Amino acid sequence: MVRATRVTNSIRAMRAEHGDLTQAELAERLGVTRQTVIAIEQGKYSPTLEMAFQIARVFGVSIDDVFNYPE
Amino acid sequence: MSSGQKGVWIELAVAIATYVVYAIVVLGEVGRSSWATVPYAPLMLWAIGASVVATVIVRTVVAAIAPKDADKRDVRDKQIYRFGEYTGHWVLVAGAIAALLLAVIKVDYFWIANEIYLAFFVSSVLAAVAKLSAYGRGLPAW
Repeated sequence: MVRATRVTNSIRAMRAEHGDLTQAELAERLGVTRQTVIAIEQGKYSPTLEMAFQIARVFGVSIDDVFNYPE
Repeated sequence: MSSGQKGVWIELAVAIATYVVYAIVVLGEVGRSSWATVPYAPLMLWAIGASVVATVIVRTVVAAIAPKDADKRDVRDKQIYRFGEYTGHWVLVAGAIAALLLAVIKVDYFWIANEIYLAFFVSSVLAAVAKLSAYGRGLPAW
């Protein structure tokens, strides 16, 4: 059964908190395309566990601080 | 638009263009004579070859226009590619089964070859549409 992802994130807010890090800069640090960062921010794409760790590491926080999954 | 998404658009456009041209030429030949005498084999091979060559040329031109984004494919592009191929795969299976049945009942090679080519075409279009949908609306979670 195909369904939309329920994973939400606070990447946009964290980018703003980290010196207005641009999507392109974050993409560069993650080694992905800017479109992928946009898709993740908009909740259209759930990143792999490895990418989720990388994103959390860029902001110096844990995965739980970046990504949320509703009860 | 990522290079992966551009590639899908190119594949879709080329697949439709080459198949439409092939269908128009073959149907024109059928109109003039009979399907039994239509030289479909060289036309089909030309269409398949032209499709491959055109895809390479257009991809090269697009990469030359935007060299910064060329060959930039990440894990999302790979997942979308797999999703699209998986979606289009069932058409190929159905086409293979249909070709098998046509062969069993000894239908002319013309119909078997064209049925298989049609299955490849529909499969590639369906796969491309699924990929573009995943790029635009998001990759579905299973």
